[in-house]
Amino acid sequence: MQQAFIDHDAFQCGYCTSGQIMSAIACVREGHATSDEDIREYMSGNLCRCAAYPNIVAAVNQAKAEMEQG
Amino acid sequence: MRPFAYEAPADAASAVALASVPASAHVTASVQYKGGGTTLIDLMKLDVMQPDTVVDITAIADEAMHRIIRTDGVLRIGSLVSMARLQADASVVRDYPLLTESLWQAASQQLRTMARLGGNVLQRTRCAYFRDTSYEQCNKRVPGSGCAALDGANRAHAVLGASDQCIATYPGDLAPALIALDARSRGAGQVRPAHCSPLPTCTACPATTPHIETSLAPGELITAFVVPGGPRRRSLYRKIRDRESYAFANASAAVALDLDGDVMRDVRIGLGGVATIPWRARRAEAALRGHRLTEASASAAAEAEFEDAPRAQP
Repeated sequence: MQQAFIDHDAFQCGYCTSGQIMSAIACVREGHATSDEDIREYMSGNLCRCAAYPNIVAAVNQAKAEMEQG
Repeated sequence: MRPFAYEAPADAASAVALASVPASAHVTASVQYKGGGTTLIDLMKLDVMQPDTVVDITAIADEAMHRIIRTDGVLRIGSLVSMARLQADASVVRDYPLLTESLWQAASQQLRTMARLGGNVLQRTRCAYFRDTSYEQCNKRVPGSGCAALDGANRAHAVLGASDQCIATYPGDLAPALIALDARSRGAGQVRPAHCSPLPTCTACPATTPHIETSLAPGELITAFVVPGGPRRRSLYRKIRDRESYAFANASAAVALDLDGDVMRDVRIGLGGVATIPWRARRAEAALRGHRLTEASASAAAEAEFEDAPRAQP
């Protein structure tokens, strides 16, 4: 997930990033990263004032695929 | 944050004994129950609530407070079940769409994982004048001090059940859905032993005592919610908010129908985001019952319900 955030430039200032990554891992592990809409809903409790949201969704999608491959 | 004593009793009776101080259900009370803590801890950090003692009820082992049980058409939900757990319960998803949808559209997944249903129903208003102690006037926070919201930024405030003492909105999503289903609350306390009563947030509008937000007796603990039989499968929760997720309702409606063709044999409506308490829209229900559901009949029902509400000046 950390690498996916780097690959997709899913942050600017980095202030929210550790929390975003924690939530993103839980989102995938709990089986909720099934669509962009679901990812947005399950990640909505983590605010990003730099508004990197599209990049965060892309990062979660990439990490999900890699996490599921193990 | 002020220092406080922390208690984590292992059973409901011990919790009730710890919390049975005068006025324990009030905003200003010295002892407060803590479930998930998602409202209480915030309000303690803001210095809005200043309990001397916090009684953490999540360690209570009483099984009935943790279980979701269905028997003979009755749904019984323990008060310590989390929002996320009820939302994901397969039989509730199938048979009670309005409950699932009200939870799904409330808060965020992190909060839904922490928050318990008893505390969710008892959550306190998001009125900015209540939550910011730099405002001297708030009848909820400081009884008798006045209401800064009356002449303040009150776009999100209540138009039903309000008074010249308080216009703070009840913010929750689950309670309007529960009252639409005629749910009752099971409680235990020293004044009233185990009993069943209407939801404790639904009984009193803040006419003269906005700091008294519930009908709970001192130390009384909600142990479960009981949903009787009735229309439920043909139901939904519709919520209008400023953001698509993680936002309180500007207005919401929990609706359950029993249809005969397109005629409404029975209709139940709970409203959120517009009233000082979870609001059962009985006038609207009476206007709709026995009629066909059309845009015209729905508009007329809404007009009936909001007849006494203040109107924006053109």
